[in-house]
Amino acid sequence: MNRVRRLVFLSLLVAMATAVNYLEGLMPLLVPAFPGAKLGLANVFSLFALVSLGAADAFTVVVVRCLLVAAVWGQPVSLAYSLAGGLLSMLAMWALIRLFKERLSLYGVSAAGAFFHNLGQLCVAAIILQSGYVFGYLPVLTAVAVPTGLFVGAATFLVKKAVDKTDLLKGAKKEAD
Amino acid sequence: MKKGDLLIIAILLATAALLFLAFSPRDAGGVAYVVVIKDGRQVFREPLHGTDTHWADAHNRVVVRDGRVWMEWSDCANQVCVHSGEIGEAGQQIVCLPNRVMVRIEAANAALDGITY
Amino acid sequence: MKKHVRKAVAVAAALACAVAAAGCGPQAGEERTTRTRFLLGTVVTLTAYQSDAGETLDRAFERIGQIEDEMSAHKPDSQIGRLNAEGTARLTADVFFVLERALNMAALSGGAFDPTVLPLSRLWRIGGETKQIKVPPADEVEKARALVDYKKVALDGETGTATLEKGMGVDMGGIAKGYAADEAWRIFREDGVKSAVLDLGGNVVAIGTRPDGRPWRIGIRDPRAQPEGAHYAVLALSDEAAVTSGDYQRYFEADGLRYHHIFDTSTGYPARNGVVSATIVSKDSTTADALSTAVFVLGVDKGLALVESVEGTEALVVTEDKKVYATPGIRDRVEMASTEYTLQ
Repeated sequence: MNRVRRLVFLSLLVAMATAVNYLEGLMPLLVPAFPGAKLGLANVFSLFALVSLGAADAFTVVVVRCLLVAAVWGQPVSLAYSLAGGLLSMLAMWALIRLFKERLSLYGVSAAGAFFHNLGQLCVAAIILQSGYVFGYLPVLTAVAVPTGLFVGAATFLVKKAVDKTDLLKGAKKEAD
Repeated sequence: MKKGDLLIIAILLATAALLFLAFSPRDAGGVAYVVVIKDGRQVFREPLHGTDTHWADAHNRVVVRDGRVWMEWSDCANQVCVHSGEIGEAGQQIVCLPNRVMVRIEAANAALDGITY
Repeated sequence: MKKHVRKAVAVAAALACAVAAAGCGPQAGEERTTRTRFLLGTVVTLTAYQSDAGETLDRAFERIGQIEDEMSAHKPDSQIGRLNAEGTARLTADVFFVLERALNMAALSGGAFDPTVLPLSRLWRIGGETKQIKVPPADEVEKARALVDYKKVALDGETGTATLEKGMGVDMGGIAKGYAADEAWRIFREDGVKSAVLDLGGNVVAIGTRPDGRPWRIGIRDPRAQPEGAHYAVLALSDEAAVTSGDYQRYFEADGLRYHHIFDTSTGYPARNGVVSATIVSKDSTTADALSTAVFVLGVDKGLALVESVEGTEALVVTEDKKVYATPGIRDRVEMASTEYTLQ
């Protein structure tokens, strides 16, 4: 896959992730009083990048999407917040895939990713508020990570199935880091 | 769905259950207090069921009324804190991350540094 | 190109982990050095809110041990032990100082606090080796009570000698912990420790403030709650001592009545005026210790009046009907923690 093609594809992923991120923000709260608990649909695109293109591209999508969202809508605070969650989550998912590729599918990986995403965000919140009390949200967020993770996993699965039928990603390096 | 997936899900659910137990408010047995912490420093502490009161600074306004607490106003961009609704039990909290404000309800038994007897 | 991207990924990942670890790790300012020893017949826990205070703690414990050795009425070779055995003794400067303070507090409280209460403590044997289960006969109580009189102690400042009349005895139990706490406080202060909590068997000294600048939160034991350890109120203290006398500390029960260890020296029996707990807050733990006994014995009205006449001291007194009376200076630093008690 040549560089230009890859660049364009990644940009598309980032754009879609950004748009979905925004749309999600318009929805009512999943968990009362904790705004961080979203469906996490934007992660479909980074997870897709992870399994179809490779870790480097996946991390790129995550970082650029966070920067873009923060630049257009957010404040510096939300950047730290989303980066921590996104990076920790991507790291966990990458590790899981590398280590347990045969025994896992997108569903489990995504659920774990959702959990680490929440954990990363809580840690940043704890630093910013200088208080460990935010971890009071951890039980709820851990439980919520399962359905949202599975949902994102399912969505990613469908996306992958559809794209694999085309030759959009012909020649793209498979996850081989 | 493969075996590993189910394992992960099981672990997550078990963790969540454990955390719920670990974090459940201990027998509060006493008066509950509304505490506001700004930039890591406590700036407000009043009984939850006392007279109606509020706390405000240039960026946020917290209201305490009839044993309920909510963020009435904030100048933050995401307004998440304002949309957080009301809290009324020990252990619950409302957070305004951009302004570094945390509103909690604490059981009075929380966090003693010593006891004289 | 791939290699650079990989490196960037590694850096980003490391960063994410570092951030996560920082947020999840111990919150800043939670460093402390704490140690517990069994001294003065109780559990002593000293906590300095900084990481390198080991030496200070050691010196403080040593000093407390010294005080116990010099002033315990239960040790025959302590200075007080010898004073009691022989009726007269030469005391070192610090022991003399504390005895003098004790006698002054006795005079100030009209005898409600009295360090010569040893005959009574021995008779009622409360807190001793064998648990007293019988109420002593009235004539023996009267004999012991007659031997209690702070006015009959002669102090000679020049020679540092103290002299008692025949049969009398000095028991520093009501003031020694306070003095030990003040000494420990002095050592901490000399070593520049800014933030600490000293707990000598419930005799608390709150040094400075919490590391984050907020005052220390010191609870007052609920005199009737089971399990032990529940508190009825929380005090916000900085650089202050808090001492409590209660009828739940040492006692036995007979015929449905509680016989505790705080004697009314005018009757020889445990004080029975409705007070179950008296807490004194002061800049000086020695005074607080003696006053807590005095206030308990004097009761609400006379007790609070006495406290208000002493500068820099405040008090909270709890009665059997779960009412809490407080001096004005402490009211805005008291947070009630139990709905069963009402602040008057």
